[in-house]
Formats: sequence, structure tokens, C-alpha cells
Amino acid sequence: MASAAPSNILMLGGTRFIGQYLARQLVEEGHQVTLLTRGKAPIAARIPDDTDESHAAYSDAVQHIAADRKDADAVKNALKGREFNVVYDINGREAEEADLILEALPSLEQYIYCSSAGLYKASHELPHFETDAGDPKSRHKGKLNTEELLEKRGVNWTSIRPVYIYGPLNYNPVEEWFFHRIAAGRPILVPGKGNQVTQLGHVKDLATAFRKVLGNPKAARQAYNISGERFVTFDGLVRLCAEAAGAPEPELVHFDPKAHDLGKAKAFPLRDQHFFTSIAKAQADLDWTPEFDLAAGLRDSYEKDFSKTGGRKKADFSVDDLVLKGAGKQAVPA
Amino acid sequence: MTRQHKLGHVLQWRPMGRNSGGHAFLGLHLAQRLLEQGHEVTILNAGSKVPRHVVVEMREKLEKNGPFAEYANVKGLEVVWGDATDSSFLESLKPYDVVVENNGKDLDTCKPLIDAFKGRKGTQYIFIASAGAYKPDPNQPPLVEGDPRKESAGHVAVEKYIEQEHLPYTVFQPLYIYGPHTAKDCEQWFLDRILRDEPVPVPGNGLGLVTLSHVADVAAMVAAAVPGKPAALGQHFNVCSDRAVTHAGIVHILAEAAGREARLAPFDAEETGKLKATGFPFRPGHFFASSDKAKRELGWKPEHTFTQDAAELVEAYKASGRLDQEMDFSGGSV
Repeated sequence: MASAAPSNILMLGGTRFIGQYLARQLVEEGHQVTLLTRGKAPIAARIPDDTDESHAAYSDAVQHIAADRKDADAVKNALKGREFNVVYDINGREAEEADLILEALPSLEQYIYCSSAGLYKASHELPHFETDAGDPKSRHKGKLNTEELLEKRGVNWTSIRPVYIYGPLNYNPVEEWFFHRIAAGRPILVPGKGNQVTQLGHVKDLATAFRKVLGNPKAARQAYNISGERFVTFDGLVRLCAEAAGAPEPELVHFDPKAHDLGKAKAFPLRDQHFFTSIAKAQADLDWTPEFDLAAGLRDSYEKDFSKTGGRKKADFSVDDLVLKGAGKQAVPA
Repeated sequence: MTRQHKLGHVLQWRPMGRNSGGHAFLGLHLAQRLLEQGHEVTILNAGSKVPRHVVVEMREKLEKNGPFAEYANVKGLEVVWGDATDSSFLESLKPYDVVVENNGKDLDTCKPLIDAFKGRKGTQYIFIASAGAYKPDPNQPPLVEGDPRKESAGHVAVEKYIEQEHLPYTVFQPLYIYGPHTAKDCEQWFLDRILRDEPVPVPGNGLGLVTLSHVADVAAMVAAAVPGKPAALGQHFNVCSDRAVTHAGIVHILAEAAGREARLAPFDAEETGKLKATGFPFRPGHFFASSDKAKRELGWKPEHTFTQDAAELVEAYKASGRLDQEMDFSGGSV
């Protein structure tokens, strides 16, 4: 499939994780890309995949508008007189935020939104398909509301619903959580029996899917689940992370989450339930399929990021120790 | 436009009165489907190395119940009773465009039929094998075509033989099937307990995922490969619904449909003899598969989901008179 005709793209966010990969792909494809952020993070920070040349080329090409998207006046002023034909909304959480953009840019050809598979209502039957009901009470109701707003406003929208995203530069402690414990030689706490089935998707595959919906008539007013092709159990994920780190299989300690009062602290980075989706619609419509299988993707993340940087967050095993103590176990000394 | 292809539909029963009911039920629905599509269908019911007069006696007994009792109701169906391991009998059968092996699980049983038809020009061999032949991956549970198989599986030996003999073939790998005229328990085991207000034993935490498929969807997929559809030749297909359901979920879905309370009695499936004692009808761990390949290549899609069928299944159970049976759950109580 031919790539889209050159577009003038406004990206909301774009300086962290998904946006960093996506903006580079779009620039490489010949589009004009402008990031709208508060300016707290560097606009074009170097990423592990960059060479000197690619980083220089990207820094030169990418544009920036400094504004806080939650500030209505700031957004209006920043976008006054600007002509963008496509918006990539990477960091929008609430419907009002998208509404502001739509008002400021009334003649958009496409509004591409980073939603979440977290909006699905929990079901006995899985995987989730895009036609499944959203949960108006979920933590991700803002995403659901935003999708509903986009449909109501009549703009040509496309919504991308990732599951768990992983890869180099992940600022959410997903794979990093396991890598920290593996590196420290600690047992890994898994809630329940570890047979919960979930799904992870590499950030580069996600960025590619985002790029492929641009100007794609099949994607008009459609939502797509985007993640890796295979599903994985919690126990399986721990084992695959250890393999990626070149470490022996760690001790898996299954614990009962109800038996410990942890307050708001998390003892495990993933929701304690089955959570996975079918990506078949995206594969059919977008000429897209994940390049990374989970084993290769975790290796990519480990080699390019964790092994070099130790991750975004410092290791904190206090909750692990609480649970282990409560379960009558000792942590293996580091 | 009706096709004038002739089909052979092979269905075997094993001697000693133990009928392969699970297969016969699929065979019945498949025959109906193929007849609707305009094909000529012959069902061969046979026992290996059993004298003809014994076959006739068994036939009288078998035709009193289950799928065999339905034959008379299927218009245009030809039923032949004989010995499918007797090569001279097989030679006497008329030429067929398609042969469906819907009973054999190992090479000894299947070889005579393969040998009888391999020489005949253009005969397509359809093998109803089983997804049980996959070697389960403990980390990434969904079964996908091309994944490793159990080398010791009887089905795999048959597949190797048909490849070796250059017979145009399609292999179908079903999981658990439910629907009218079944001879093997699926939802019935659950309803035995739910409708008697008994708690339902489920392995572990009840989170095991299983694909349950309606026989009509299974028959539709096999029929989609007939006759000799190019995309189907030399290929394996998982035959199943596109949704998996948890063991606990089955209880909830059926209880809701029956207007009863869902009561679960979790048990340790690894404790020796426990699984057998409860009679739980499925494998205790995850056993679910993707049917994406069939959707893509055969243009097939499932029409049923377990949730949508639940009310009908409850009614069918009640109409069968099974609720009047006295049942003793003490052997499997936990």
C-alpha cells in the first residue's frame, strides 16, 4: 500500500515513548510534523535507534508549539491561524481536551486518537473485539468518552486501542518491573496462580499501526485493537523476561492479593484478570502485522534500554518485601 | 446452481459398542450442511474387522439414539454400513470427489481408507483431527496453526502419511463442540449441577480458558473447504469459535441463563485422581485456539457465541428429560 500524501500533522504529545517513534516514522515518510507540548521534556531527544544522522535529520525537521493542552486559552492562541490537516492525539485523556482541539481546528481531514483497550467492559468471553461494549465506569472512561465525542462531532476519526505497551523508553514500569527483580536475583511475586492471560505490544509496532491509518479510507471512523499477536500468561511473561535478560528462570511466588493490605501500592504491574484483544481487524484493514514476537521484543527492550540505563524508575522492592513477609517467605539477598 | 460433486463422508464407529459419538454428531451436521449446498453425501458407518452381520446388529442398536437416530430425518442422505478397514469393501465404493475422515485418530484406523482413495484422481481428503495434537506452550497458550505438535499424537502420524502419499488434503483441528444431538457432554455436566443447585467443581481458580464451539459453525467451516477449495489444500485449520470462555465463566453464563445462582467449588486439579473424580469435562488448563486463519483463507465466520446460545442450551437440557435423573455428586464433591 502506498504511503499517505504528505500531510501537515499536529501531534499532541510526542516527546515521550509512542510519540518519539511515531513522529520519526511520519517525518521519514515525508510529512510535516509539529509537536504540541508544554515543553518540559526535550523536543527531539535521541532514542536508542537513532544514529547521529537520523537524530540530526529528525531534530531539524520536527517543529514545536509550546502550550498546555489543558489550558483552553493557551490552546486557542497557539493554534490560531495554523493549518493542520491531521491531528495525532497521543496523550489526550478526557473528552474536553479533544473538544478544544476540534474547535481550534475545524477543517481536519483526520483525527487519530490514542485510546486504550482498558475501556472494554470485562467479559467472560475473550478476546475483546472492537465491537465489544466499553465500560463507562472504568478507569479509562475518559478514553471512551473521547471516542464518543469524536463520533458525535462528525470528524473523520480513527481510534487506536493498545493493550500493554512495552519497548525501549517505556515510562510505565511494565517490563522494567520484571527486569529490576531479575537483575537483583529476587523472587518474582505473581498474584493468584499466574495463569491470567494478557497481551503486550511493542511500541514500534504500535507506531507503525498509527502511521498506517493516516489517510487510510478503511480506517475512517474505526477503532482498532493494536498489540502483539500472541497472548501470554503472567507466569509466562516472567519467564520470557528472564530469557530476554539472559538470566535463569527466577523463583515465582504466587500470592493472594486479598491476603495483604497494601493500600494503593501495587504488588504487580498488570491488572489481575484476563485482558487481551484480537488484532485481526487491524491486520485485515491496515496492511499491518506486528514485527516483534514477545520474546524478540523483550530482548529488544532489555538490550537497548534496561541493560544500559537500568530503566526509568529506581528499583523499589518495599512492597515485595511486605508481601513476602506476609507470606512467610524471605527475599533472596541481592 | 447446485453442484453435482459427489462426496463421501466417512464416519466410523468402534466395535464393542463404544461409539465415537463425538464424531458422529459432527458428521450429522456436516452431512446436512453439505446436502444443503447441493452435494451428494454418503455416510459410512463402520467397525474395523467386524463381520457384516455384527455390524447390522450394532446398527439397529445405534440408530435408536444420538446422532445416528437422526439419519432418517436427513433428506437425501445415503448411509452405508460396512468395514472401513476392509480394502476390498472400500474398493467397491463408488468414486468420491471428497472423503472426510471423521473418526480415525491413528494411522492403523485411517490407512485403509487413505490407501483406497489415494490412487483415484482428484480425491480430496479431509481429516477431522484435533487441536489436542498441539504441544501446549506453557507461556503463550493460544493454539495457532503451525505451532509444534505432539510427535506421539496419532493424528500427526496420519497427517504425515497423507502428505507422504501426495493426497490433496485439508486438516481440521476442532476443540470442544456443543449443539443438538451431541453424544458427549459439554454444557450438560455444568447444568447437571446448576439446575440441582449443587456447587460446580472448577479446576484451580476457575480461570482456565477454553474454546467451546457450536457444531453448526464447525460444520460450516469444514463445508467451506469442500470441494477442493484451493486455499484449503495442503492446509491445517483450527475449527473453533473466535471467543474463549473461562471455566468459571461457563458457570456464570449458564447460571444466569437458568435464573440460578452460580456456585463454584474450586478443586486442585493436580491432586492425583481429583480431576477424574469430579468428572470435569475439559482439560484443566488453558485450551483455546485462534480461528483467524479460517476467517482469512476460507471466508468463514462463526455465527454463534456460547453466551448467546446459553438460554437455548438450558432449554434443550430441560427438554431432554435429564433433569429427572437422580444424580449422586458425592464422588466428585469437594
